[in-house]
Amino acid sequence: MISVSATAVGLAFNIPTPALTDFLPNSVGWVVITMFVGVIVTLIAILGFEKLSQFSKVFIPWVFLVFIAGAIALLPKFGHIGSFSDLWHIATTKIWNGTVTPGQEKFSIWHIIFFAWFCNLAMHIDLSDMATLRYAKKWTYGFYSAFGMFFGHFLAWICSGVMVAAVAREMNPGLMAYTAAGLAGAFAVVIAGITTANPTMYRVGLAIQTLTPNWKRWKVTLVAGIATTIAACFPGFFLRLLDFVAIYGLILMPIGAVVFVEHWIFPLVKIPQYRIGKLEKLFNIPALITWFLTLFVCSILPIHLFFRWLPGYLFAMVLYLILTYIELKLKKEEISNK
Amino acid sequence: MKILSIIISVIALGICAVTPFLTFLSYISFETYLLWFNVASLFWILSAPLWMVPELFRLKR
Repeated sequence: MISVSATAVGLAFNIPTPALTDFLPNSVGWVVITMFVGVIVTLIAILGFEKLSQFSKVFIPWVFLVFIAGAIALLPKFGHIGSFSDLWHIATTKIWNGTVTPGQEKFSIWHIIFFAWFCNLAMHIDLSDMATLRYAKKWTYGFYSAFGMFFGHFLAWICSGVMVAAVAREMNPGLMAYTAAGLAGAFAVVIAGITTANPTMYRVGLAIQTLTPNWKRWKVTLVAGIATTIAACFPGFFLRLLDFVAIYGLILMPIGAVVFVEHWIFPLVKIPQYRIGKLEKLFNIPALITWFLTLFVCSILPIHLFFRWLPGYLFAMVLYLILTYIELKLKKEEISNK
Repeated sequence: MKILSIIISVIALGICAVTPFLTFLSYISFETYLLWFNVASLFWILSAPLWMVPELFRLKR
């Protein structure tokens, strides 16, 4: 998302956005702008959760509107729309016409639906949201994950589809938003990039801090920010974002299944919860085996990457349950002694 | 001050929401939509923090 923001900042300085086939940065200007955006994202993340939420609170309702407004305002550019059938005709012939950009993969509606689910997988199914939802005062705060998925992705993707078609399918988020909503659009892309990257940066900081407990959180976040900013300079990363997001969602998925089973299913089948913590063990062997085996099964499933997590998740749940049951049978004395 | 900033930001967000539909229905041109949308956006960005995150503007003793 740092790179996405950089495309909008680059517009102001006439810096070309890297092509879909580029891996290395295409100009010094691109690197400078990406570094600049990376510094801002890292600084806000360093300020902590409170500043992060204040920043998002002000900008998110407006960014959401920019997406919808841009798409609606651009629709008449495709031709006269006097009825729903006109709209449908334009949608199927000029916006989502099935023509694939050379070198890119063709997606069906199912790919889009599953990816919209998948790209937030790390947040809800994989439980990354817990980094922020731990502050929730009510259980209903969990629905915010649904807002992110359904509005943040389904709606944003539909609107982006309209806007990209209006800029002759040039894959430049900054140019797309500038055409649709002027300077406000370009600014919205910068803000959207920052607000999306920030919570992740904050979570990364928290995660690394568990490995380096002697480091202060700001120092850990700074290290994560520097690493992320350097990676963002390489278009090879952000132009392959879909695959990266899918893979990182997939890698975390079995652990999300393990936590779900431990918390919700174990009480139903009378298996003691949080056994490993109570026994003060370093490793949860059933969880470790579940993680490895699920990833192995997912890697050989003969279906598209975007669809693999769902059977994988069900497999991980069943496997963890069986493995824990077997371990319990083998080590029953140990638990009862504790 | 708080009430004034709420009124300004709600109107600004309302203009941001309505103008694209007016363009879609051909009541206003695309250029007019761009102008109104950008001005309203500026008002939102300037007025919303005043009531949404008032702690930012509180002076420390």
